[in-house]
Formats: sequence, structure tokens, C-alpha cells
Amino acid sequence: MGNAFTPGLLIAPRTAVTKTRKLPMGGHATVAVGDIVTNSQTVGMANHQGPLTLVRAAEILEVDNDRMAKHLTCQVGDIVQKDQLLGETSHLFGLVRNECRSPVNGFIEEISETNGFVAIREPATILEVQAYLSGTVTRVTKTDVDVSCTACVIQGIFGLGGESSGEIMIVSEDEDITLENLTEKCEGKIIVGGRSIEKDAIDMARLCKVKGIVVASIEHSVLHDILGEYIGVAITGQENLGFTLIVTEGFGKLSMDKRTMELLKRHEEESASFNGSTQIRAGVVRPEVIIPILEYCETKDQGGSLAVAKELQIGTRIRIIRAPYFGELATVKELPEQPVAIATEAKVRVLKAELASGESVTIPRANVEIID
Amino acid sequence: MAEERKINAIIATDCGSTTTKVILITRTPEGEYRLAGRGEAPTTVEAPFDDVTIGVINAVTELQEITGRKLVENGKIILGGDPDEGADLYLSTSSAGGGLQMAVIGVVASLSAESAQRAALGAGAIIIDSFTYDDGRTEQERVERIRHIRPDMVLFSGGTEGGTKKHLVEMAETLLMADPKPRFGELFKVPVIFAGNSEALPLVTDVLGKKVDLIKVKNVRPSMEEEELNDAGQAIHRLFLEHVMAQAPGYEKLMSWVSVPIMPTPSAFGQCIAAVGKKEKINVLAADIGGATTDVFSSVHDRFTRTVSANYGMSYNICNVVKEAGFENILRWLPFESSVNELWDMALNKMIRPTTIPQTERELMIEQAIVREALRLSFAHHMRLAGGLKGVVRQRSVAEAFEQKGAAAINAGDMDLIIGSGGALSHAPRRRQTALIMLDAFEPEGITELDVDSIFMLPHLGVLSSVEPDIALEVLHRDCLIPIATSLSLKGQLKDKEVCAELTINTPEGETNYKLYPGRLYRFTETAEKIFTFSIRPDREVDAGEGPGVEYARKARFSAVGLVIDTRGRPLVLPADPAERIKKNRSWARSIGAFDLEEKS
Repeated sequence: MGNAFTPGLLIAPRTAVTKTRKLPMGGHATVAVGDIVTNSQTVGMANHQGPLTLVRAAEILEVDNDRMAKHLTCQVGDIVQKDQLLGETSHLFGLVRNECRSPVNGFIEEISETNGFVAIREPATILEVQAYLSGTVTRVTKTDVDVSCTACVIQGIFGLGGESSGEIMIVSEDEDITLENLTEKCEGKIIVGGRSIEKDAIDMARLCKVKGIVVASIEHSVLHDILGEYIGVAITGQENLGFTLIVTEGFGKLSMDKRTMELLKRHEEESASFNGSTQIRAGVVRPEVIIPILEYCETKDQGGSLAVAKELQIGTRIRIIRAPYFGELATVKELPEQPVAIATEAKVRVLKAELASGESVTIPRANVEIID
Repeated sequence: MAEERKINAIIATDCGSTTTKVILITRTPEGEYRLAGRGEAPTTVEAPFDDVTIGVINAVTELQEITGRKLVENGKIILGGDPDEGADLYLSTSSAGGGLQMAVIGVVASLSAESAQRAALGAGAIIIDSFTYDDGRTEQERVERIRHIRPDMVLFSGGTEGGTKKHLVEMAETLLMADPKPRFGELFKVPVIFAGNSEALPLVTDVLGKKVDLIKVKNVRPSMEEEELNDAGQAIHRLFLEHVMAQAPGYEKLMSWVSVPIMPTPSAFGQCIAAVGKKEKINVLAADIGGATTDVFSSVHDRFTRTVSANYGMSYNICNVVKEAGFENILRWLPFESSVNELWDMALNKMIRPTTIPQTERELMIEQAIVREALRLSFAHHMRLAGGLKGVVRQRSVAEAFEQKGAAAINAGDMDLIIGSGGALSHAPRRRQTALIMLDAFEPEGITELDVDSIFMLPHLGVLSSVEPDIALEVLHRDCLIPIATSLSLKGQLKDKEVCAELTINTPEGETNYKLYPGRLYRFTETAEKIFTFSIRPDREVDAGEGPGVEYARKARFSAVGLVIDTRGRPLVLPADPAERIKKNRSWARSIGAFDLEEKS
């Protein structure tokens, strides 16, 4: 047969990892090659000008754009405080007064008589970039800092929220995470559940200041409650939920792959870096949990590509990723070359496999993932 | 030309966003060109493969196993020479990389950015995000977001002619700070289409010039009262096809393998549709539903139009379909009770594992319900935009600008032929399922032929037609377009009638008369001779395609499903009561033979 391989997610007990940290524009690195850094350590920083706020002054003052300036009490360069008067007009012999006030603290950067805007620049902010990984600085350029280490890496299938770090805490090995599993001891931790999580447990996790949640699955209704909207395209990572969520298997009620749970248990109470960012298209990005084992790389960087490609063969261990055997582990027994009619009457390429229970099943090749 | 070159075999691939499909065309001993086989494999443009040619070789290897003809050697397609192995021509089309993902930049959300969004959407893009001064975000938030979304290109609008320049420069600085990276091509600069105040262009060029590929087009909002979308739309389309797609991993190698330049899938597909419309002198509508996008093509009264609904697809964008259609509109097509949770969980799982296929009848029915809505939404999009993509400068009044109205250039009643394509239609286990999906989604009126691209090979034949048009046409009619049904759909006052029309079918064996009742689907299969004639006599308030009460006769054509008469009315309205709706869906699916469902009391 041909190389009809099916890529799975990376579940690696020990692998080389390098993360490139992009420095803020105009910033500089605060570390050097060879430095040992922790995940929360700053590796680069920059002074960044504050945001610009446009005030539609002409509209507020009810004057034409080109007549706005003469009603203003401020000039370009003036420092203004929030709610400070920027200008005023009166109409109908003073019966109607219009006041234009600054919505922010800052300074007047521009007064545009063409557009009728007053532009206020807020104070500059210091931007810092953290290492994200605990490891060794392996490269520093004008724009990037690379941090490398040897780590246990677990990729999820879907996530929400961005980068974070915390200690791994298994709160439920085989069951859903419920309210009862959550206490003040969860604060700052990345909590792990072997199945799903209920909505009220999400709320409690937020109250407990949990930094991350790793679960096998999540139901659509809980996802909707978390996001407040239906998800359309799987491009995530920017959500500001107060925690990062990583789903390892899929949607609905599914159990966590035993290898994943075993690895997380092995590293319980250890510090992990994790990121929920997901992009399921070409240029795929999967959520990840990275648990550094050594603060340096044992082998060369693998180019940052974490996923792996394998070939289906007789004896290959697989996981079924669609109903009616979703989530079950099996071993490939046959790989028929010709398409076979399945229950839907569709003729597709299949494989015959034996489930853990000993049952023999026929599965479309498209519906399996290879596992080690 | 084929005879002169003695072409014995042709391999053609289509590298889709989810699957790479390959066909083999060979010359028979009688000198005919026929489809010899088909193979497929997951597209490998994503990590960890990052090379589209791996999927191509996998698909061709599968084809080799199925046909028994040696096609691959040392990881390459065998080309030229031996009449018993390899091929004389290798051709390819591509839409890998999914749809076009764009970011839009403007000054004011409700003015220039809105126009830019319309231009991008009209060109078939997904708007990942829109950045404006009044979007409520800080500059740093904008920078972070632009970095995160990795747009294929950016449409930069803002300012009417003679208006603001300063704010465009500010937004250019934001873009510069973000330094957006494309999804493909490390060294590739993200194209930025500048469609703002032309007076600001030199200043914006000073800021962005070296960092991005800056392309100047006409201002999408030259004044408050005007909107000019066409120039930007054309630039978006051109850049996507020529620039973004070409950056996808492995394409350099693939380009060195092919006998003629790789053609974008929609262009190749459209070339075939336009040829059919022109040759047959008929109005044709075609829909190609893929994993990421749904393309709709029409050739109506010799005018060809293509639209891309970049956010409606059956894998990467399946959740977008559910979201946009609304779950009630999906559930309404099911012949069983389901729930919002079941629907969403299934759609979300399909989205995160886009290459999986339904293995149970229940999941197949849910996917086909979603297909109906994806097609319905894409057809509506096509009808809205059909009049606006032909190079005509469109001027809108201020009132229109806020209403977003546009006259539809085509409607379902115009169509003589509807062609369905894409995995969900071409690979439906039964052709009857495809016929029912197309009836429900497009709601044809009067007599309409329904065809299906047998195994999704219209793109392959489109690119073949650029070098061997005779072979392409031969295979198109012999193996590609499969007549699946002739639909006769009634409209008008059907509901209150006991009998809405009478039908007579004439076969060599004799004449049979039928009374047609409202709210049903009827299927009449062909006789052994495979041809019959029929005449329809609609009630005086019922239109069978020639006008209310107008009777006519036709010769049926042979097709997989036969003559399907739809007396459910137009527009198609399903019962509001769930139990009644399920009963109707079961009855319709049974009538047409889409599924073997038992009657439910």
C-alpha cells in the first residue's frame, strides 16, 4: 500500500523544544546566549508609546471641522487629564452649551481641522516579553530570543487563551471535573481532568484563580458559555478568560488518552508552560503543555515542528476519532486495498482493527489517528 | 491534437484544502479517452509535512494500486515514453491552504472599513479581523492581534479623497510594528492592498514600503457618497491566486513536475462550466462545496459569474455554516429528533479533525443537513453579488450604503442545469441523496436538469481543456457529468389545492395518468428503454415553469434518479411543528429513495 499515513498529535515524554520569543518593536533583549531563564523571566523589553484616542471634537461641539480649533482650549503638546475640558461652544444665545472633554490622560498629539478630530496620545508603557519556557537562551537577534530545553510535550486538539505557566495538579483522573474537585489549593495551578468539565466547575476554577485547565473534552454548551458566542473558525488564543483551556481529545464527553494522562500524572506538581492557541488550517497551530525536564537541549532543535507523521501498517496502534467508536484504541489487523462499503453505503478505503475489548471493527482510514 | 501526439495517459491532480484528488485518463484500444481510475489522499500542505507533493504522491500511489498501472517511481510521477506505465501529461489544479484569510484596516469602522470589508467579502475572503481607530482597542492590542492572526493579505483603507492622511500613517505604523507573518512562506512579505486616500499613499509607502508588498488600488471609499469595490476586489483575487497560493509549501517542486502551469481550482472549474453553458446554449448554475469554501458559478444568458463563499465549507468552516445558518435551520432538515448539543459537538469535532468522514447514517444525515445550508447560504451570496463583480463601477447613494441592498442578477427559475460538485455532493453514498440536497438547497423552479460531477473531476478537466480541449470535452460528457435527475418543481397557490396538477407519462407500453397532490415529492423512473415523454397540466393557479396553468409536454432524459416532481411549493417552507417536520422529511427522503426510512407515526 501507499504511504496512507495519518498524523496524530505529539505526545512526547522527552523531546527538544525551542521557542522563539519575538521582541516588541524597537525593543531589546535583556538576556544573552547561554543564560538560564525561568518561564516568567523577562527576555526582552521596550518602551512603547501609548495608544492614540481620537475625540470627534467638531461633532461634539457642533461646529464645522475648519471652525473647530477656535473653540478649543487646548493646543498640540498640552498634557491633559481625563475629563479635562478640551473645548466648548454655546448656541442659541448661550442657552445650549456643548462641552468636549478628554476621555483619557495623555497629551494632545494632533488637532485635525480636516477631519474634526483631536488626537490624544496616552502615556508610554513598558512592554516586556517573557521566556515562556524555562530553559537556556540559545539565540539572540535584534528581533528574537530563542529559549530551548528538553521537555515532555503534550499537544491538545483545541484550546482557548494564550501563554501561561503553573504547576500541574490532577484533580480528576477518570471523571468530569466538578465543583467538588476544586479548592483553594488549585490557585495558580494547571488542573487536569481525565474527562470533561462542567460549567459551574469552570466558574469555580475562575474563582479559585486556576491558571490552566487541561481536559479530555468539553461540551459545546460549556464552550458557548465560556465564550459567550458560537465559535465559527478555530483560530483561538486571544481570549481573555482568566485561564487557559486545553482540550486533548475533542467535543462532547470523551475520556483522555491514557498515555496523555500517564505523562501528566508523572509530572504532577512540576511546573509547565502552556498555551491554548489553536489554528486548524494550513499552517496549523495546536495547543500545548510543555514540562521542561532539563534546562538545556539534549539534541538539536527539530525546527519547531512538533507534530509527527507515521505510516499505517499491520500492528499499528490507532485511536478512532469519529463515531461510533470515537476515542477507542485499537490495533490494525488488515489494510484492504480496495474501497469497501461502510454503514452509510459510502465506498471508502478502510482498515480492520481490533478494539481493546477484543471486538473486530471496520473503520474508514480517514477516521483514525496513529499512536505510538 | 491528441492523435498527433498519441497521448495514451493523463494524470491530473487537484490539491484541495483537505484532500488531494487524482484521476487517470487513458486511451482505449478503440481510441476513446475514458476515466481509468481515481485516488485520493490527505493534502500535506500543513506541518509536519509542509510539502504538497507528499499528498500528491500518496494519492497517485493509491491510484496506482487501484488501477494496476505503474505511475510512481522513486517518489516521482513517471512521465513520457512507455505506453504501459506512467503518463504523457501531468496536470494540476490547487486550492490548498484553505480560503483566503484577510485583515482589514480602516480609519472609521462604519465608513472606509465597512467598504473595505465589503470589497474583501465580495472577493471571497474571510475577514479575520477589522482594525480601526474606533475599534476600542489599544495600539498594542491591535499589534498583538495582527501578529496572532497571520493574515494572507491586508486590505488597507481609510480616508476619503482629500481627507485624513495622518490617521492612515498611524495605522501604517501599527501594521509596521505588528510585522504580520503569512501562514506560508517564511520570506514572503504579506501583501498589503492600499485602497485608501490616494494622497496618503506616499506617506504610507514611506512607513511600510520595505516591510510589506504594497499594492495600490482605487480608494474603496473615494467620498462619503461613493463606493468603489471592484478594483480592490480584483487585486485581492489576483494576489490570492498568483501570490499567496504559490507560497504554499512544496509548490515550487509541484510546479517543476507539471506539464502546464498549475491552475487555481476555481478557475479550472469555472472554465468547464462556462464551456458547458456556451456549447449547450443553456443557463447553468454549479456549486462546488469544499472543506473550507463553497464556490458558486453561473453562466446565465452568456454572462459568467463566480463567487467564493470563503466561510462556508464542510470541514474547516463547518462551524461557520452552523453559526451563520443557525442551528434551527440545520435541524429542520433532519428526519429524526436531534439537539443543539449533538449538532454542535459533531460540527466542532469535524472542524478540529477535518478529514474524518461519517461512519453512521445518523452522522451522514446531519452532515447532509449542514451541506444544504452551506449551499443555500452560498447561493444567496452568489445571487447578491452576481451583479457586482463584472468591472462595473458601482455607485451607491448614502441611503443605500447603509441598507446594503443589491438587485439579484439571477434567480433559481433561470436555471436549465444545476451541477453539484465537491465531496459532499459527488461522494454522497446515493445519487438520490445528492438530488434531494440540491432540490432543498437551490429550490429550482419549473424544469431543471440536475447533474453531478461524478467524482469531482471538473477542475481536472478544466486544466486539461487548456491543452487538450477535445479530450477534456470527451471525458466531460462520458465520465464526468452524471445526469442524476430531471426536476419539475411547481410554484404558486399549491397549499389549498387537493390536486395541484395532473401528469401523463407516455412509455412504449402505454399512457399512465397521475394526480399530483401538494406537499410531496414524486419520483418516476425510466422504462427499460430509458426514455419516456411526459406532459404536465397544472391547476390554473399553479406554475410548472411555463406560467400559471400552462400545460406542456417534454421528453425525459435518462438519469440516475429519474423525473422528480416537487409539489412542496416555492419558497420551500417546512412545517413549524417538529414532529410534523420530521414526518415530512422521512416521507420525502423515502419518496425519492435517499434513505430507507420507515414511516413514523
